Amino acid sequence: MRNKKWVSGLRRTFKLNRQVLIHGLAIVISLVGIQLLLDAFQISFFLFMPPIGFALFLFATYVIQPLILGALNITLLHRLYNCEGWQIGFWLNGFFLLLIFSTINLVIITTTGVPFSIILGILEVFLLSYPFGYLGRFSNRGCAITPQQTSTAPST
Amino acid sequence: MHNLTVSARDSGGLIGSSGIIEFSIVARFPTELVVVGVALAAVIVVSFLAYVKRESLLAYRKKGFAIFFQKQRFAALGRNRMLWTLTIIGLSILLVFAQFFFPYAYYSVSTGSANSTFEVGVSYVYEQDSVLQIYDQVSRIKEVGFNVIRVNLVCDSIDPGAHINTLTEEFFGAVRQLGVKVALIINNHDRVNNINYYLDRWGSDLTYVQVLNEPDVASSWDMGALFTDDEAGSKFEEVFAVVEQHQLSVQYYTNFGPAFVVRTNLPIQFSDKLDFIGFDVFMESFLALSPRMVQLLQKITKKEIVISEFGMSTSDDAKQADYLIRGLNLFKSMGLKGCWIVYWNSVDNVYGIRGRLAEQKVGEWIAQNI
Repeated sequence: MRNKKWVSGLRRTFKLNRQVLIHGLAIVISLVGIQLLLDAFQISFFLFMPPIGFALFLFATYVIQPLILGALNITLLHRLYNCEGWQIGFWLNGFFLLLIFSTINLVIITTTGVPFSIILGILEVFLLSYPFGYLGRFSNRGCAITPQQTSTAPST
Repeated sequence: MHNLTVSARDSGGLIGSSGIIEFSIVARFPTELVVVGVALAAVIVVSFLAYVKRESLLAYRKKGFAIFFQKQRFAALGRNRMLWTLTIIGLSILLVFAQFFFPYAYYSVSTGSANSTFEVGVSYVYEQDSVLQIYDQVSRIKEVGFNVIRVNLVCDSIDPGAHINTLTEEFFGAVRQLGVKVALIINNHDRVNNINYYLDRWGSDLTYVQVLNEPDVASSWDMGALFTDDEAGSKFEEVFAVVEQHQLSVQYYTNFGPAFVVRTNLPIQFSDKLDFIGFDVFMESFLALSPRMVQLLQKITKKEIVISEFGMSTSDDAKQADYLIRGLNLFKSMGLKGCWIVYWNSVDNVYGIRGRLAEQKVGEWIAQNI
């Protein structure tokens, strides 16, 4: 009896959670895509009417990108886990995910000297999707939708 | 400021006295006060929370504190919006700090990407020495282990027999004989006549030519009036065109201070014509931030980086030596092309390392690491 429980527990541990994977995949693909776009246009930003271009680059990186990521994360949470509302704001949620992703890239470039590129991006999509699925879920959550609820109430 | 004179008597009874050693005692950082302050603030916050939640605490006391650690309780904490927001903000702050300081922390302990051809140089202000001193000084610089000497463009194009030309001639005579690389600084206000005269006469002895000095913070027509981007760009083009006419077999570079971070267009614009980029590091704070800034400079210019100015103006010999050695270790482990120290000698400030502990320590470092 004890053995059976242990085996089933082990099975559960290694079973890939499809919701988490889809969640992480969507977030990491967005992060990699936005990072590649920003890298491609970084020089153009910096040379556009300095220092306006520089300010716009910072705005795109640290305001617009987190808003997109935060909104995407909340939408995914609602769709995949059947919930509503959110615990922390769009920007903070996206900023947190962006910081984790950019810190991982910084560690890679510092320790290996490999700069961010499309190849590294694809590799990160494979390696980081599952952890980012959990991170996306950890960083925000809504309230479960109960069957008797008819209208959306703000979460607390 | 305090003065100290050391006297010593040898076995023969002869007494010798040192010169006056000036030193100051600086109050140390009040760590205990900060720790006590934080502890006091924590106690006040916990007491306030206990006061606010006194009824709940009373209920827990009646039911037993074991229920406080139940799974549902933790789940409730996880659903607390304020607590969760604070947790995410706290983690984000930690990550921001990691972004700023991780490269410094990593390169300070790692030698992973060290460059085997790391060049250690020094800025020599030979115009402050006498003609008779120059050969010996160049020889001593070489003996310490420096393989690049960085110098100002000093000459008189109007009077070829001027004293300053004699000094420069003496310097290049020593350099030719001893085989040391020379990096020439063409400052922002050097005249075209002087540049042409200097390069005609000594250009073939140069290895590196620096076009402008820290254009990101350089003053244009008056002290405090920074170059606009247009001025910096046109000045660079003007000087570069003058230097290029001489068709020297040299490598070109321009150095930037940490202010390039807000004027990133300047290194991007200039880098097309440069072989490598210089970055100047002063003060502990910028030493800690330098790996991050060098990474940015490398990313936007796609060129090799040399630390073209690195030094500390202090009368504390031990502090200066320690700072320089830490910097050399850091820059070598970052895999940079080289690091040039400011200065060998200087009469206007306390940067000079000549005859000080830093000269000995840097010499030992070069012998061990290069």
